[in-house]
Amino acid sequence: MLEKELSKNIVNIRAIMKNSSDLIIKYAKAGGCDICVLTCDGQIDADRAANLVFRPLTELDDSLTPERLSAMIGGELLLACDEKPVMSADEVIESVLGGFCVILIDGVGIGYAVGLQGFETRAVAPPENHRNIRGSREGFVEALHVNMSLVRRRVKSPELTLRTMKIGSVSNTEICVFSMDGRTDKRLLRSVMDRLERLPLSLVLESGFVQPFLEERHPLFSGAGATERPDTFVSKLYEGRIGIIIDGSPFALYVPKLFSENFIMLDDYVEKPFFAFFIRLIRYAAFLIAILLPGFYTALANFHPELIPDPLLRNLAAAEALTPYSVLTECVILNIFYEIMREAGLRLPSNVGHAVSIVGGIVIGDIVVSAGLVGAPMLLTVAIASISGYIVSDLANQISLLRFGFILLGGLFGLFGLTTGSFVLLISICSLNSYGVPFTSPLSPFSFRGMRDTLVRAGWRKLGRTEPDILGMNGSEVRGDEG
Amino acid sequence: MRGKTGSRELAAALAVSRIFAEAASLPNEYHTYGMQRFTVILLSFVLTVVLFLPLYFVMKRSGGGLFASVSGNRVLPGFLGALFSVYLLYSAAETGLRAHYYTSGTIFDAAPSEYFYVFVGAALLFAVYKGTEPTVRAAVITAGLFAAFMLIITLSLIPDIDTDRLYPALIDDPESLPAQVLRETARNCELPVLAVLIGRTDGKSGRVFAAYAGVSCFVVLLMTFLGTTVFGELVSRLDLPFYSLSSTADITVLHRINGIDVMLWVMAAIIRLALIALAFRETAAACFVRGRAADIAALVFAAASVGLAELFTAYPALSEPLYRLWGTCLPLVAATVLIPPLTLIGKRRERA
Repeated sequence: MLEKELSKNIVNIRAIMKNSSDLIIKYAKAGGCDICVLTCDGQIDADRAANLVFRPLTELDDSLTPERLSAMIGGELLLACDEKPVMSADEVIESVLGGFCVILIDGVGIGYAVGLQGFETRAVAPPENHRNIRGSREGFVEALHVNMSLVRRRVKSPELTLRTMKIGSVSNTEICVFSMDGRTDKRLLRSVMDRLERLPLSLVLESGFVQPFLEERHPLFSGAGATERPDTFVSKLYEGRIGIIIDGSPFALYVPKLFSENFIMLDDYVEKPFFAFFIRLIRYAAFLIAILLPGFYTALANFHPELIPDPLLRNLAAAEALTPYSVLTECVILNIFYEIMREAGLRLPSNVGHAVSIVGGIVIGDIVVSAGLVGAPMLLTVAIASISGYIVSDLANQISLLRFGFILLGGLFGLFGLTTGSFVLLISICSLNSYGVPFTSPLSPFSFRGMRDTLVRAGWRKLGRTEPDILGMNGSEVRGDEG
Repeated sequence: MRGKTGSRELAAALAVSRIFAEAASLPNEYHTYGMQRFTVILLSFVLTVVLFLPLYFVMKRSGGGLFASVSGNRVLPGFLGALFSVYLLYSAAETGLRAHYYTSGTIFDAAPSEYFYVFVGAALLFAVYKGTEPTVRAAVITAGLFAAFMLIITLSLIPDIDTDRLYPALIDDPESLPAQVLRETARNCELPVLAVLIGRTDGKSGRVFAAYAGVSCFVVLLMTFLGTTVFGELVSRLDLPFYSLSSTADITVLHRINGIDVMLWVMAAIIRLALIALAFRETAAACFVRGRAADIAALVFAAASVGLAELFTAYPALSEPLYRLWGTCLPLVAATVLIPPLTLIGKRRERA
């Protein structure tokens, strides 16, 4: 609890904060009483503090008692919309570090925290990873309250409920849990809240820190989705999912997530349904090509050349005859080169990244073939598989790993190795449930209702007639204890 | 290993399993040229319905799987469970044997059979470890791929279809007809598997059976139609008619698609093996052991079935008597007609 004596409170707060240099303590007189204003450097808007706090307080009549001053600040004197009493030193510190300006009065054992958050934030900009052709250009930013407003602007309905809480015992990261009453299953919401409350992390810097605690364990795939787009996020909430935005991260999480959602983009809903169907087919095909094509080529070249049409087989044999390495070795080396270039391109500044692209694309791509290190068909195969992998960007990491696995299986054991590998992968994907919703639904368990917006995309006249419901998928039943 | 499995998904899985058994059926024994083959398939369908009836009544009465009623009895569970397990074990071993036979000339070439069984065994153990729900879901996706594959084969073979090879007489050789019908039905281990796994689903056994039996009968008729109209009399000399069909189909991108065909069949074979092993898991849980021990027993069963298949591959003479016995349909009749009433006796005694 706060003491009545101001100096004792300040000594106490300084001790807890270990005399941290970003703690700003400003003594002043207001209404004839000694007061003290505590803020954290860089966390508040100085202009608003001067206009909304300091000026009104210093203009008060000097004849006030501490109790009267306290009552005025807590009551009739409106300093800011976000204002709350604080009763203890811990609350004072928590508020100050959260961007509040705390006013303590000598002679009163209560303080007031006034929300004047004004730290520098990045402006709302188009999302980096989830781009679209038509639709909003707004992406989430790092500031939680900006993100909350981006969501609220799209759903001006009391159905949308926001619950804020803090996670991480050291970072005290503020997060907001979104749900839509009447659409979200209460058991699902309770399960998510339980997991967040039991989060064992002390430091939470990014949504990726929390994601593993919201999904069932799986070595490759995730039952929790992440998006940079407020419109995508809102559409997930509308389907009855739970959304989580974490302060400091421009990626919002939602649960549960289905495998088929990796192949659905927001643009599909503004295009004609036939085109949406066509482009989704392309995405599924691209996923299969990305993970299987190099392995399949290696298996055919090594073990089953009889499956390749004769003219093509002659060309492939002629190209491979000029290279010193086996097909499998070539494939592995090329894929490792590609992964190195990809990683370099991702981490480097964009101007250097272009140089990497030139070196990778022109120098390596051309020279390795002309030098006779790898055959042109193999280079083409790896290139097609790599480009296909970018089409399903949410699964890029999984594709890289799976591609290597299938190259080894195909190269060492032929189509038989690919078959058993595919089966194990299929079983593994099918075993994943996210809060009781099968990851592979509505494909398996099959649901006609769910299929209207999976591979095909029904027209808006049909989609608009019924309410979407993630838990209405065949076979789903909320389970809360799969972490 | 938990959760409910959709009844439609189970039906799809059983259909995949059944169609594999048909496609990999051994040479010449079933695939004689002539319209009698269609009659055999339809009569076998009728016989399958008849064999399902006792199971249906038991399941309806017990309100769960086949062994739901005997769980409280002291003597019967062990006896019935052992009988049933032997039936399942041979069915699984024969499935492995057939899969090896089907692949040995194609995507598995001349490599030692041990490698085949090690790979199939590893995939099978993984499926059994994951449980019924993922296996059945994977089977649905395999069924979808198979349907697409059937469509491609059918479309690519349309120019080769000659309907003059069909003729009105539906029975060429009345004397061999009963034996052919029995043999066609004999390896339908999906019936007992359904009876056990139905306890895992949220559906009704009658609907599952109707969907599975109807779909598999239709697909087998289609496969027979394609084989008969494309190959004519040659079909009676082919080892694996459906494989030969996929060898004939040319889709331009690939010279032949029989490799893809066999990839699908290997997946179907593993699904069949996994379904049998999971049926054993349910049997073991009801008759022998409880909880986690049943899961371990299923894994042991899966490994044993693959080991037995390898033994049969190495020593074909060992499997000959069993193969002939299974061809008489008696083991299937025992599993569908003999065991179900005994489980009801167990239930009455328990009540008394």
